[in-house]
Amino acid sequence: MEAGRSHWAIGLSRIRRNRGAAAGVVIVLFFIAASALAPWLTDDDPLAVQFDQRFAPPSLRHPLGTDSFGRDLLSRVLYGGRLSLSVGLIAIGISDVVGIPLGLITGYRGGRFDDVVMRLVDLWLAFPGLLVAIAIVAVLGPGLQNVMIAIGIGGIPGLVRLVRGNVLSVREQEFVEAARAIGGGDAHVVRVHIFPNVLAPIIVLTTLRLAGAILSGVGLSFLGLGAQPPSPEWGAIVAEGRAYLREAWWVSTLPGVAIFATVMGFNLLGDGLRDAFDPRLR
Amino acid sequence: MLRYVVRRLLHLVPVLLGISFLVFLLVHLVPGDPVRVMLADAGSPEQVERMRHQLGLDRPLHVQYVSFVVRAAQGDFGRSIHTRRPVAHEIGFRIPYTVRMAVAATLVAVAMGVVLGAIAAIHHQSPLDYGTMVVALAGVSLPNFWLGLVLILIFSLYLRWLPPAGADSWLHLILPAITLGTSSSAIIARLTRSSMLEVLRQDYVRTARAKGVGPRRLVYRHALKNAMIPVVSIVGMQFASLLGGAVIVETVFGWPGIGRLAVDAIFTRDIPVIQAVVLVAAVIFVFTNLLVDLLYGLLDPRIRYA
Amino acid sequence: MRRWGTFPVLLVVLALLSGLAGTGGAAPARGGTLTMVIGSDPPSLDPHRTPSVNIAHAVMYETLVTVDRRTGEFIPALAESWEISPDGTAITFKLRRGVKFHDGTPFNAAAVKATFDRLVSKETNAPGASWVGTLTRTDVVDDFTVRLVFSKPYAPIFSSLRISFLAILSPAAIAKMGADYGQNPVGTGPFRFKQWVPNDRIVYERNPDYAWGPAHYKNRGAPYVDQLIIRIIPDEATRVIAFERGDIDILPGAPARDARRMMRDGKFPFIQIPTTSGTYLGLNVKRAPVNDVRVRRAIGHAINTDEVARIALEGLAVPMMSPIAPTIWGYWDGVRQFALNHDVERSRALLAEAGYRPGPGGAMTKDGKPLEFTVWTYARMTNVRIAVVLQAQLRAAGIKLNIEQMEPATLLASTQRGEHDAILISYGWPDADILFYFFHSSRLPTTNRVHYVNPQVDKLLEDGQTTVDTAKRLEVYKQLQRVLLAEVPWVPLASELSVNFNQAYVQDIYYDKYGNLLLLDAVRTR
Repeated sequence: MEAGRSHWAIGLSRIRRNRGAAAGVVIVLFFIAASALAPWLTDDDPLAVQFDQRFAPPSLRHPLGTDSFGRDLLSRVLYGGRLSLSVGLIAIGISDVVGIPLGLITGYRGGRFDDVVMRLVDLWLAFPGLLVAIAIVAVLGPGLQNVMIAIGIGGIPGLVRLVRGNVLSVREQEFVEAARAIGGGDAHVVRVHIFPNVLAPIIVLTTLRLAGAILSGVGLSFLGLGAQPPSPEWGAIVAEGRAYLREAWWVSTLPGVAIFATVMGFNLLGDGLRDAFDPRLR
Repeated sequence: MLRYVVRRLLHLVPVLLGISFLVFLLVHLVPGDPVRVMLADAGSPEQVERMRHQLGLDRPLHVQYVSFVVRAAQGDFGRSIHTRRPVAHEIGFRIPYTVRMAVAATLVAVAMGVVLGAIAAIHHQSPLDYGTMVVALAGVSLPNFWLGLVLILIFSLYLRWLPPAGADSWLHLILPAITLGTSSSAIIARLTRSSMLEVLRQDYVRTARAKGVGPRRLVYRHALKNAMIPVVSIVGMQFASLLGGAVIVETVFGWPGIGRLAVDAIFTRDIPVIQAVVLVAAVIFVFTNLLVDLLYGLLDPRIRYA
Repeated sequence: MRRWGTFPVLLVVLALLSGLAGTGGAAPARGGTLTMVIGSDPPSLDPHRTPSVNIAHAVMYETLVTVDRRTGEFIPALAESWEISPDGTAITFKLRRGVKFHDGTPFNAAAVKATFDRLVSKETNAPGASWVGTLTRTDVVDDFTVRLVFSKPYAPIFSSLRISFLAILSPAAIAKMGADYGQNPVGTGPFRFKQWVPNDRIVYERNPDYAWGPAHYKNRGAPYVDQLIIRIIPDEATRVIAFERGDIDILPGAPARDARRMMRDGKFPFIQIPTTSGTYLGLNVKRAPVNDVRVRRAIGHAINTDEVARIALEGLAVPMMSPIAPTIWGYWDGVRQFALNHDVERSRALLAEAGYRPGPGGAMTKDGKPLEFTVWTYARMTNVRIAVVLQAQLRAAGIKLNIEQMEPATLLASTQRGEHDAILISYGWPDADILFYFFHSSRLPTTNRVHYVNPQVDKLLEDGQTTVDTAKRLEVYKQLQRVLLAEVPWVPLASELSVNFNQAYVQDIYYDKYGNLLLLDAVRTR
């Protein structure tokens, strides 16, 4: 327990010094806040068409310009951020809810159960990530919800493997043995002694996976398998704006920048976290 | 060594069976009656039954699975519902394209990644190091469809240097390979950097340095070579993940590979084709990993095959 | 009238139908390769194993009759002449002599019989089999005479006969290839199949033996170009860029936005033609709130089809006033006096009649519930764009429209169960008989997606199939259009125009009125 706390303390102080992580936090918070506060940041309805305002280039009235229906792109990007960010968050939530307990249990119990789970995990990992998502979308049908589920399921095996690996290295340490010796039940030991000690790598991986999940989500929407127009989901906006790239470059490039910046923010943050908690990689 | 290879191959049998089972299940997880879906609304009840029989969907599940595996092992995936051509034919045609693009993208990724990573490691904790790593991070953060779009705009439309679509010549390969390779190059750059830092800290490098080996020679002869060992394994993994990324890039660049085939198949609910693409990709992945493991052993004398 | 006022394009279209300016008197240049582009692979090059046919079939296969690109009349192709029996149940074709398939097999009555027998056989299960209607058998009268026998008259047969679904196949190749015909397709057309790289290209070479070109060509012999390549580029933007870079010689059906831009720039010659397709809003007459004809009419009056064509389809479309697009055989111009023109006041009055009152925010409300319905469409960009425009227009009339998109297969399956309020889809077919599939009670619940049952309409649709006399048949469809516009199971929206570009060095290419590219006269001047 003591070891755990000092580990956290060291990590946190390192993060504060890491400029990349700081930049990541700022970017991520910026986009989360912008999406969350969308109704207060813009008066425009992301779905409201204005046929006399088609293809207006960026201006004070429309900071990111308008699209082929005269819809204000700033409001579309702001509201769309809610969709694209929640695809990432919910997908990661799905894999965390399944993957973390499974990794904890299988790593802690070991034995045949562990053998079977890891066999399945290895099997699952044999399918390239995006193709798994595509196969699942093929079964469930296109749609944003199904994309979340697909990416979520696709993320489970990697997470199980990581959690299990860390549990294995913690399980044999003295303080765990001691906790068991004084009669702590398995659930108690896992919850109080093991979980906090594997939390750091989980957080690091979760942050990085968020970046990946957001990218997969917009990618699938771009392919037409996820959100569909008129939804202002970022991937869908880029796909929709493609037809007008030549005359109205802003329609798909500016939302593309939003995707890039958000994902970069999560990556910077995850990277900083990793450096902080895993100094070997410095 | 030979025994090791044989053992590894035997280990693959349950893995391949498991993969085939998951893939087999796809058709039965589709909501609704697959036959009805395949016939759209054109089918009379007799037509539906006939098609069900043709596809073998009227047999018990385990019989279907055994026949699926036996046929798949012979490269027979049935006929595409959409085109009515043998799926093996559809896939066989396209695999070389996807593999060609994945190989080219891997080359791009390795070339860019190793150079960036080595620069960062040599200039450890300098602005150059940080700058390189930010570039690498940007590479993983770029949505590849967007990167592809921008590359087409610049190189095909404005500069007119490269074709935007098609698969005629190696010229057509450049933009897709860069688009697809960029994110992998970032990952390889990071690994090269950390691996080289590790190696540069090792005793033998310090000894060499103390003996007066020049920094250039030090990097190329000693550090880079040893640092490449872990990189090889990630290259294998990346190659497989490129197969997934190819889905998007093939769509952007009109590349006739299996990724695009899979996307098209989703819209037409062409389940046999989706099954075959996923199966083939997984099998390629499994064998790539095997190959990488074996290569790894050859490169790293510390690994012994017991 | 005013709906048509903004569309003088139609005149331009007609003027252009006859093709680009010729090359003059000089002998046409020979040789070279023509490259054109389409968006997706044909499912199969075997006309009996594909649910859709396109240019990839049309360049290598031929049908018994074809349609004159100048007059739109049916003219001989593989058949030299034909005769319809007085009761309309048999058509006897005299076949052209001296025609050879690409594999050397001679073309004759046996080939026609083999083809049609294969088309309708249960074993083939051909998606195109329905195009022959009530055909019961094909008789060989003599070597070059063949008779199609129908159980009852099937008036639309000629519209079918010119489509590649009914192209004549080589009996020798059928015997040899069986189900794999599509991998090594054999036809009689001006180009013969050479190679197919799926998702990339289909390559054809000049058929040097070709000497039976239809009369609407200047050249009746083998094509002037040596090779024809059909490139497959699914992405619209990429397709256009490839054309503008000069990688592609012919770009049929450019995406609307790019077409507008290129027409404005004037860098490339183009031919603009109407299509035989129509997009409509289908209202499920069995489901509230659109089960009330007054509500359906109100929706019709709230919709501005001009704006649909101008905004959603970038101006490259003609607003439709009838369920039958103006290019389709059977369209009746008098329909304009019954059309549901854009009139929000009228719409509100109809809704008031149906018991709706303006509520909060202008929403029309009945029993405290706002008037609201959901339209299902599949994720095709133009359909989605139309839905977005309709949403805005209906909102202005106090009607809330929700848009739901699904993949085609799901859409079709769900409409069969009648779970939809409305659908927004397109159809394409050159003959008004297509409406049989959409409104006849026997087509419930499959293609009669609006669940419309009306004995009067059933009768008219049946008459439309069995009335062989053209003038009488037109009268039938005139009646039908009036009934459908009064009952509004569909709100007709727009019929798209197709803009076809080519490089300036490509000359003498034509399109017939159905948008088929005709290449026999085509030359490449450099």
